[in-house]
Amino acid sequence: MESSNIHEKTHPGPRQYITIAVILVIMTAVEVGVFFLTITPAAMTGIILFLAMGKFALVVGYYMQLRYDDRRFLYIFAAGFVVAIAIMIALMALFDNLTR
Amino acid sequence: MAHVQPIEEQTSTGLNNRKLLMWAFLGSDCMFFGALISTFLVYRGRSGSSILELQESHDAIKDAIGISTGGLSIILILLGIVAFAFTLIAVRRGVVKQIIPAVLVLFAIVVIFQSIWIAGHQPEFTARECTEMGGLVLPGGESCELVIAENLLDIPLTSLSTFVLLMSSLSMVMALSALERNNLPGFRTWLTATSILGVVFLGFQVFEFNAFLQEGLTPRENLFGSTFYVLTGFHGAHVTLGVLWLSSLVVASFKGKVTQKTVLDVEIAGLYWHFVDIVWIVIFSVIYLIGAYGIG
Amino acid sequence: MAAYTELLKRPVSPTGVWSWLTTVDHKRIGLLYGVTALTMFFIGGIEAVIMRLQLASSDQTLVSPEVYNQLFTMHGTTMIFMVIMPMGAAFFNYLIPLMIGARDVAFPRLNAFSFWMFLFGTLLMHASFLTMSAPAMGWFAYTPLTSLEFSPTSGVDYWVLGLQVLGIASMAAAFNFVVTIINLRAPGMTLMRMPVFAWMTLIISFLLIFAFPVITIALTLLQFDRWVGTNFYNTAAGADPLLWQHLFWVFGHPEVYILILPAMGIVSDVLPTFTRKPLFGYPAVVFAGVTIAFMGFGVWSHHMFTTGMGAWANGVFSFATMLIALPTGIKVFNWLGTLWGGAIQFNTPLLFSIGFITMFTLGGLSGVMHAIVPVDTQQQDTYFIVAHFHYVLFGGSLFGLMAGIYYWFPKMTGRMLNEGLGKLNFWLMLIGFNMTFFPMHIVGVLGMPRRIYTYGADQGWDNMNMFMTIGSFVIVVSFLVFMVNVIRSLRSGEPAGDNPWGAATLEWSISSPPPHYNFIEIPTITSRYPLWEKDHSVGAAQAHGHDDDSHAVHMPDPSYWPLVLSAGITMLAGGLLIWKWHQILGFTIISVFGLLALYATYRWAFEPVNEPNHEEPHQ
Ligand SMILES: [Cu+2]
Repeated sequence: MESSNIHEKTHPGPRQYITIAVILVIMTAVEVGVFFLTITPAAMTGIILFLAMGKFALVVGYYMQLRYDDRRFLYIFAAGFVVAIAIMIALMALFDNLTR
Repeated sequence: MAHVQPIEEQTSTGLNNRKLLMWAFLGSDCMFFGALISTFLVYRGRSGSSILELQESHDAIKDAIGISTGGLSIILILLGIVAFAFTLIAVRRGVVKQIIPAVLVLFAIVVIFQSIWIAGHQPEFTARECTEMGGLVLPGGESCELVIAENLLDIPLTSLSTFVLLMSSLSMVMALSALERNNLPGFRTWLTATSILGVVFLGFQVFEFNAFLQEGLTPRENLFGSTFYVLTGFHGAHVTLGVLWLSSLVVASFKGKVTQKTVLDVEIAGLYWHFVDIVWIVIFSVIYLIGAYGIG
Repeated sequence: MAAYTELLKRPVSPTGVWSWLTTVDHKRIGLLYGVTALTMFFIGGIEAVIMRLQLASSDQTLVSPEVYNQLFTMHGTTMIFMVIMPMGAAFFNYLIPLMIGARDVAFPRLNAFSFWMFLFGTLLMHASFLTMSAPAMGWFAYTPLTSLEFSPTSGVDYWVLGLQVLGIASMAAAFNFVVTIINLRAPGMTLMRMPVFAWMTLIISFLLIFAFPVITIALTLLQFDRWVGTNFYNTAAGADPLLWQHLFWVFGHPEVYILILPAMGIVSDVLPTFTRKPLFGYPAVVFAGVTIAFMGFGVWSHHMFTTGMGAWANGVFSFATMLIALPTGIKVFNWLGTLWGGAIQFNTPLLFSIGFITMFTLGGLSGVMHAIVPVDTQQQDTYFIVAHFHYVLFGGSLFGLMAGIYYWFPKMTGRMLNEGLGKLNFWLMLIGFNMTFFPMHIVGVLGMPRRIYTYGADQGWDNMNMFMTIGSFVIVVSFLVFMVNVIRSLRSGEPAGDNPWGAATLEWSISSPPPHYNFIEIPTITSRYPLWEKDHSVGAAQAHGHDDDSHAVHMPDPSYWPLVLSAGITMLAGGLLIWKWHQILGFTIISVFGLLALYATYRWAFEPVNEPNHEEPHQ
């Protein structure tokens, strides 16, 4: 019954937290670096979105411990997140933002 | 946040009620921000933003650096993938040291590219070019006023505030970790740091809003002003609420109401705080970086 | 917490007005929801009757065009947000803990908060009648009609703020019931053993927490436009007038499932009881409900086929809309399968359930017609649309809710409703409903537009409109019969006993009305229909337990803070209204009540579930 404490055994400690913080900062730096480079907007958008997703996943997975926690928390959060992203994409398509 | 819970509830799934509530709320909050970010994106480029102008200055830099666009983007994509893979492997194995050299190399590369950019970034518009771009030559003839929209976004400054918010997420997990090990002074220190970093982030936002207002961008000015202030303001309201919550926890810990036994209270507050951080990750990437560059 | 000396002592009395104002008991909150929703139903009904009188024949001048606009706006808003939704809430508040074998909801004070927010939101929106400036732009408030330029009176302001407050109420309830249904089930009550009503409540709770944020943001943007002067819906500044429509219907389509799923759940629980057999294809009904919920987020633009979205968008949303009719059809066939070969008892709840199935199917079919873009283009903004949504909302939701009232009234009050009056109520309502709304299909196709305050005699719509108005009075009579029935039963109804219908689900294993603590001993469930098990152990445990001392059961204490917090938040909204008229006064009200809300939040957060020093109040 008491599965809310199961993750205690495996969940990360301070060292890992700091490592992840360093990675997050680096990824942010790369994003900003990419912004200041002279590359095509499409390539830049791709790289920045990719890095942003990585940062998002790191924070959700490790800082919010979703990677170690009960799956049901993930499902309930992912439901909202996926619907939100789908509606964002659909709205952008409907307003011709993706093709403009 | 009912602090005096006589017994830990027995639930049919074994999941704590309040933690489940928080995750459901965060899923719901995704929809709030999703609707706001959609509004921003749908209206992007409708305020007569200086997309073309920025593009031209970038073109100028490309000429200055002399590296082909395609080559650069491929290198950067590869670097990103390598960094990401490294990170995942290192974190999974619990090894930290192996990743540090790779991280340093990446960091050096970014710094080098940035210095090259700064060296090459000397936008030289003549007065004629400025008028051609639809801008106004200001008195003195030294600066060119363009339409005030996405081009106002100050990336270096916001990078700094993004860094501050990332660090607050780190200190939040450190606080939680300290409390789990029953290190109450450590917990208070880290949580206080989190709140202060949150306040510093809000300070950046106030500074930014103020700077924009100085430039003449009000929420009424154009669609960019409306969408920008409401979206970032809504996020700022979340940060404010988080700062209130976290500092209340610090105060409560001095009254003995936050202990190792009630670590869940801190964990739930932490979930909220990290969510505010990941929303900022999305806003910074999508609104500031991609938005200011002006694709589309 | 020894030093818990307070200015305001925690309320302890189990009876009297204060006990209702501070109650955290889900059964009392459910009753409060139900009574408020019925009251609002009469207000919304009066608005409808005035409209029908105005339209009874051509060129009438009973009400002015402005008042007519206010009537249809408030009728729609009231019936959707203040009648059907809270009626569903009344049922799930009262029944869910009983159905899943829990003593209360997961967050009792949050539950009380949601009711007070609902009540205050209702009052706030109806306060517009006091200033003679009720909203008059239709219940979906399309922009740019709602901008200050075209709606300068405060009607839209009342509507926006009232809906924000109601939204907080709905979301608070939804979060609570997500957690309650996932976490507070009795031992053995797996998800697939839950009554279908519990399943549907879980689904609409998810719909609420994912759909309401979108309308909240759309309303917030409108608020900024009207209070601050931003440009979100200002076409002069390049804004797209369709943004509101998209955001509104992203919320609006899931909302129609929020309105219909409780009725579907009720009918799915009523049918097995009166056919004496399990629900046909229970997993299919549940799965269809989940599918509807997910697909419900992907069909919103079918409300916008005539806005020129382009062939691709029209095609995709048309296809998706036809697809979503499939899971709904699955449910209809499952209900028919349940009736087939059952030992049917034609009690009033079953009659209303059959009414629901037939009327809802008719409404569903005209809905599928609208999925076809060219047909929709023909019917857009005509009375055909009015006919369609009244068939799903009145013939569907309301018939289902009436079935629920007749079914669970004995459980809630301990008294039976009269069967004869019940049947009279049903037949009058069925006939009146079809007299009123069926001809709307025809006048709609003949070209009568929605939202017109009158029409010319040369149109030839006079006879049918008079017929519809007569029908609406038959509906009025049917509700008078209902009221008589309720009042008679409350005074001198036949005592119900624990399980008058011989039903199978947990709520019928305890006394009617249930005790404060619901279950003296939390039952262990072994099947979907525990009371139809041969050994009947669940009921026996409850009966046996009655002699034990109920002091052992600890229920959460009442609390002031939900009431104070919701009053604070509502007055914040009120302050915004006053701010437009007198800035300093408005600002003062906003600050004072903002601080009060903050204070109440802190007090709430640090309030223990039970005061350590006093005995549990028990009834
Ligand atoms: Cu729809």
